[in-house]
Amino acid sequence: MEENQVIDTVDTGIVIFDREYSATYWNGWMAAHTQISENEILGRSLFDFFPKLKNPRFLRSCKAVFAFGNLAFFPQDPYGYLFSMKPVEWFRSEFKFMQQSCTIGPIRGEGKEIERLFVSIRDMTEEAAYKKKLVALTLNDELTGSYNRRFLMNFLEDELYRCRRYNRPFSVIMMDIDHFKKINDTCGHPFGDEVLKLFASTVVRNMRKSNRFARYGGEEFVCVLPETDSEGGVGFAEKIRKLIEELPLSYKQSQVKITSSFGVITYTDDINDIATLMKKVDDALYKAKESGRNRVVVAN
Amino acid sequence: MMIIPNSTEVPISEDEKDILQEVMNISFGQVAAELAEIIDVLVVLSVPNVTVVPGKDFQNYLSKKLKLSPPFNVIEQSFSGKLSGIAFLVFSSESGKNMVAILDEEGGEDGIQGIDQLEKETLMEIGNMLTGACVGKIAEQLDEVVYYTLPRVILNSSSSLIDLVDKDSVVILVKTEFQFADNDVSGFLFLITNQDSFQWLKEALHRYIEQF
Amino acid sequence: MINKILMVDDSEVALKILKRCLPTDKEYECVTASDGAEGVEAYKSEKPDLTFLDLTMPVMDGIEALEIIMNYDADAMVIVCTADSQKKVYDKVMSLGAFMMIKKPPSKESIKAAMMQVLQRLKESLRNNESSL
Repeated sequence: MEENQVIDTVDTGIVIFDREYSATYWNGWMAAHTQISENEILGRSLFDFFPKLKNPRFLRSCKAVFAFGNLAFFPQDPYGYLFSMKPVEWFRSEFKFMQQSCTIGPIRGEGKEIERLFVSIRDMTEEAAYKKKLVALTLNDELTGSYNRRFLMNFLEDELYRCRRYNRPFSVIMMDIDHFKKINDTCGHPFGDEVLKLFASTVVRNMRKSNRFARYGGEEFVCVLPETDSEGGVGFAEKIRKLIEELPLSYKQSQVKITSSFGVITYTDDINDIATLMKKVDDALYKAKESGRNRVVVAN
Repeated sequence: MMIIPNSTEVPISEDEKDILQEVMNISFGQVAAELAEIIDVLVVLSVPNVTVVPGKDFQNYLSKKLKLSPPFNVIEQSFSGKLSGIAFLVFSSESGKNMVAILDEEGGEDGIQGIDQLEKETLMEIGNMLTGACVGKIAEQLDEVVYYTLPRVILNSSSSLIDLVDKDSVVILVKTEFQFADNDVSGFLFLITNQDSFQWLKEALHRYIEQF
Repeated sequence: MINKILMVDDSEVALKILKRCLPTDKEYECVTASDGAEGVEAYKSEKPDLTFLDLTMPVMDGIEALEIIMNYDADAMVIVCTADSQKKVYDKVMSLGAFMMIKKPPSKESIKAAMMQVLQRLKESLRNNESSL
């Protein structure tokens, strides 16, 4: 009797269902968070109330637990949630649905046969939001809000792997603001910072959603363009170059013109690692600088 | 608890090893049959091989015996109870990709950003199923129940396999090779158990053979 | 009518379990072999009334051995013992001419039931032979 009280009030959702996926138990937590009462759902299929639950992965997992008596896990990362319901703090949550970590396990009858399964559901919304924030903190550049070098290197690693595996193109642009040291020296660091921010926002505003833009160091930035060939990469670099050149900047009432230089590289299968890729694009950028700045050079 | 003075000494008699081998054969055979029904492809689990390896030789054993070259995917999962230890599945990245294709009829539509995510989900599912099934069946044959932790998926690991083994311990290794769908997916399943658990296992094996 | 039984399995333990599961109403003459190739040789030299055949074995697996035995003697009574009861495996062994398949581990009950069926079949074919004479 005491156990029942605990199961009904504990801050975990507990659902029990049979081989036909009909609910045979629905605890207080579930009722409270789904607005579906025990009376409504008992004896009815879970799929009547949660149609999305009827997906191959959930069904396979249940079959496996029936067959092997193991536990099947649906952790928040990567699955998000199993039972769609609003987050408790729906009015200020960044998630549309409560993030959950769920576990499915066997319930055996007297003859040791598995007759029913249970699912336990834990609310992970707050943890997921916290994790998201932490991840953002470790992967973003504080000043410009763009990704940082750590993120970039990981992303490039994945991208290179993906390209080799699925044989897809991708391009990388390395960009650098010309004579940035001089800007800092003559106009001061606060102005320099504004230039960096403006540069970053100009690129981000104009790039595709699948592109990734990161501050590589000082006044150097890198943009990764998945699914983009050399022509696309150069085109985008040219576009940014012109936009930067035309930025209406002024310091103490006098106009300040800034320019930038670009190195572009497109993946070819002789590039085996990120170090080689970065070396080549860096060389291209160096050539752009050397040959007069405010231009785009393609790596060979 | 059994103390093994010399790490090369095998703490299991030939008889016990034979019984264990047969329990494994039966368990894994049943797993193959039931798994095939669940995921609807032909599943082949090789005759499991039981080896005792000193902890310090473990890494070497893996790279030499497995001949698996990176990158590969690793799924790690611990189990506890009287039978306790760590299970891990190792297979090539290529196999991982094929596994997604086998299981997810509609897979791939998520586009590039979704591939890793989809793969991770699939590997977690299939890894959990395979280890749960194999460990669970062994336990079932021996009349015991096992508890599992959340599996951990490591995609495209290119570094040395794992540091989960204490260099001074003795690793009891059960290796099986599995294949799905005529070779499209293949890899290895290892069960590593400690000596306490192994002592229980030995006793359970004797009880097992007595029931016939 | 079943006197001599051939058991083919690479596992000593599996053979031991199988022997312990045989009915105790009479003494059977048991012959064992530890892989498919040995099993085929033993079948040819011993002419058993009934053969229990494992599937996963070194040197030559059960499927191959079954095929050779059935080619050699179309009337061979072979019971395949396997834990792997996938339908595809079942279909395969039955198409090759196995009498039946039983799940591992065997039990006294499952072996007894299987042997009853074998006896039934042997009686039937004996009767058919007599009537055709």
